[in-house]
Amino acid sequence: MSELVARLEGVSAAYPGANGHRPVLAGVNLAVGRGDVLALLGANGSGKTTLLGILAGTIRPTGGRVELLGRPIERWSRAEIARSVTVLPQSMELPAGFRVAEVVALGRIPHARSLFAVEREDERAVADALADAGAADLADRPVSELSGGERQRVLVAMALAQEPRLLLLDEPTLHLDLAHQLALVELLTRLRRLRDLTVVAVLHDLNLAHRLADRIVLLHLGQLLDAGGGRRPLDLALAGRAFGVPIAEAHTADGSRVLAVGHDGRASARDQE
Amino acid sequence: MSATAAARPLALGPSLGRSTLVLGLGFTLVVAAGLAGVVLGTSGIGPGDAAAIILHRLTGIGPVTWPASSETIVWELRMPRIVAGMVVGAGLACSGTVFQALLRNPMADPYLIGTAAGASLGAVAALLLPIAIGSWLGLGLVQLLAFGGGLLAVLVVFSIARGHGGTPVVTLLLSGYAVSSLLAAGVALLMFSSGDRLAAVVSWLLGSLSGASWARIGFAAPLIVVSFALLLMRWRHLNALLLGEAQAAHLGIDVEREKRVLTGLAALATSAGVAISGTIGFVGLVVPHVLRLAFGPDHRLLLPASMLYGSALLVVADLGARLAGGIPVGVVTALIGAPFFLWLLRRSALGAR
Repeated sequence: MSELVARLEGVSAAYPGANGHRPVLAGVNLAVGRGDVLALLGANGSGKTTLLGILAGTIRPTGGRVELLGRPIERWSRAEIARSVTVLPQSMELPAGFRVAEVVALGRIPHARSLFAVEREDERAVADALADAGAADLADRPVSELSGGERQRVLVAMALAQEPRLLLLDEPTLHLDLAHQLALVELLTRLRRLRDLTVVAVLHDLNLAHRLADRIVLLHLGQLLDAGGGRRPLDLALAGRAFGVPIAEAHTADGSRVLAVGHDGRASARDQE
Repeated sequence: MSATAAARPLALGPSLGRSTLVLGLGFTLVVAAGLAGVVLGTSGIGPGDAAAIILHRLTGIGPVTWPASSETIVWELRMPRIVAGMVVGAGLACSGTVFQALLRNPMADPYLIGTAAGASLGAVAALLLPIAIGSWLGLGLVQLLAFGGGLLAVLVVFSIARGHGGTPVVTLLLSGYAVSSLLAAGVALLMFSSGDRLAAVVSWLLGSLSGASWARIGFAAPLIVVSFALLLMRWRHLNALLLGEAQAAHLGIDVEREKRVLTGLAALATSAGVAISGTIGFVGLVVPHVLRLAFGPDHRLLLPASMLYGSALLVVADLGARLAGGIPVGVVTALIGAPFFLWLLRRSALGAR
């Protein structure tokens, strides 16, 4: 058994609401091993973001146990968590007036030791992060002049500057076009090898999830269901139940597999034409 | 981990040379404004005499070669105004910087969440109360009630905005607006019934440094200096908040606690300044805004810069107010600040950088 980066045992959580609390997670179990790349899918409101928040330590579960790197999460301080766990946000507006290297350096905040100085260690981490994210050539550019794809690479660099063990992604492809979605998946796949990263990504697109992750889990009715992924085939029936629509696998002319919304559960690529 | 070394050092913030230049220029402006404030005036005291009087007062060195009236004018009238201007200007600009980062709004100013309205009601009530208490630490009832009123108003605004899940910035702004409106209605009511004291009330509301004294400076300066030092130590937290609250939390910051601490310190500095000068406008809005455009948003440089440039601006504005026959300094800051701000807005509307 490989080292566990995160472990959830019987975790439940609820949205606070006017009529008491609405349960959203009901006894979720999850073990994320070192180096795993896990895609988290589910319908809107199924609790994906809540689960991510629990892993990031910003949402407190109402029950169950959460461990990060073998230690209960309630024994971690906010700053300690930030030195091991990073969240790559959905495309985010970067504060105007900064240059790229300065924004990436914000990722060093949890590691700050001296009151005012920027240390040699920070310069190295920022340079490495920029290089690994393929953003080294952007270092001196004002952030207001970045294109969408460049901004995404800068966000990745900022996350890497934090030097996390666990990288959490919250629908990172939401505002990206198809080419940039694929570029991001490629970048993450490369980083995983380069940086010994463990990744948990909330995604919407089954195909993208299949491409990125070696494990796909589905949130449905407060439960976490293993839906295959990686070299194992995706459990189509399960995925269909979780999303409330039939999902089918089709093969395109060049032989690649495509997941698509099916018709009466028996879909083919032809149905989409 | 990749071993890519940068060919040249990365600029992870303003360089030491640039910071030295920016802060050095700010310091020079403060000193120059101070010197001009001491020397210029209608009494015809020469620069040599003014310098000798200050040196004599500070160190006891040198023979007394000037009339006693000169010493009174320089040391008891002009110097307190100048030092009070420096202290209040620094406090307002510094608080403005903090509120603009905290509320993620470049139009935020230190008065937004109740300080000004609370201090105004306190001061106006004190001006109109028929009681005369003695002074406490050299402060009159007006200063004490203004200071307390400012802090109390912020406390009320914050308590109202605070919910189970934290204190959303929008709620904080709305709560500040509503509480300020309510307090302003109180001020208006008091003004309506103020009779022959109306002039004093209006003069306080417009902001003035003419009542500055060493005792009042002794009250406000330590509060403002300590707030500034504690705020400066949190420059990384302020930078993180520029990314938004969620991302700041992911950078290891306890956002709700940070909001309380930053609001508290900025409100303390603002209330201390307003207590001794009235509600002087535009310094806390324009100075941080302009400095951010000129020198970038990094608070490691922005906070000390706003302190220095805010000081210089208010001293110059007060000198202008004094030379213009004693009009309230708040009118001068508005006359300088508002057109300049409009010019900036117009420029950004036209897309210039």
